[in-house]
Amino acid sequence: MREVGGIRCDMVLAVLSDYLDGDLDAATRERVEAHVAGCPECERFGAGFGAMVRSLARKDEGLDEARVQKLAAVLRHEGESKA
Amino acid sequence: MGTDHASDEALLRRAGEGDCHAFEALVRRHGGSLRRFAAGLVGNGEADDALQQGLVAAYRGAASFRGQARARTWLFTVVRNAALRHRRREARHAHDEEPDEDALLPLGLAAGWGADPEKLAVRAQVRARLERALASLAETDREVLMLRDVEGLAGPEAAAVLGLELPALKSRLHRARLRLAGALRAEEDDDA
Repeated sequence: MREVGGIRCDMVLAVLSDYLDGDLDAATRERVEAHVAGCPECERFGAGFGAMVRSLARKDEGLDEARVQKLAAVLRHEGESKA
Repeated sequence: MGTDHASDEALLRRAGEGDCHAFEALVRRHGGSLRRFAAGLVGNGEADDALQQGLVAAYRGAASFRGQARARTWLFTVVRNAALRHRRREARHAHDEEPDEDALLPLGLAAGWGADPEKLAVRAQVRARLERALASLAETDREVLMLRDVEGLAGPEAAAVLGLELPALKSRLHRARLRLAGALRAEEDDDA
């Protein structure tokens, strides 16, 4: 646990998600970046943590057609019941 | 009337007027995300039932949509409520709404902070390992990760679905990410 760039390791840990999500004010962001540039442990952990978060993203994987059709049939039936 | 270029909100309003095809277009657009989210809450085996219950409830309630939130946020909220009701009926899990006050430092250490952090990214690239680690988390952690990091909802949108203020959402998300990193480490240990 040390202070680099005017901020300690545990303080970097506390704001890591805010940093990744772009939610830090400019001054805090600069301090975090200065710390990470001079602290190999935080640099490695931050890079791994960021990669983990990014790897979670799932895009453009829609519902398969069979499920859509099954749901559509249920909804049509529901619509007829409503009418 | 076409559905391809209509906004989610326009489609939901048309669904509220009884336009089944408009609602079907919303299902095509968001069904994959909604099903993954439901699976995160009730498990993959129950996800289709929970999704169907949620979508029927959404279709029935579409006329009540007033546009205060985005239509996608509203759909996630309705599907979440249906999934939680479904799970209570199934009574397979205890309800877990304990306040999350775990200190960050132990969570960080469990996540590999200061230990072997360079392996974290490599572990996360193995999809099956990531899925197992995600499944091992408490529901409150899993659902916030599903909404923000898996499905990419913005912070305010995810907060609205979960009924949280934005600062509480951010705090929960950060702890959930650290616990996921810790679970990935545990997966590694299990594989060793």
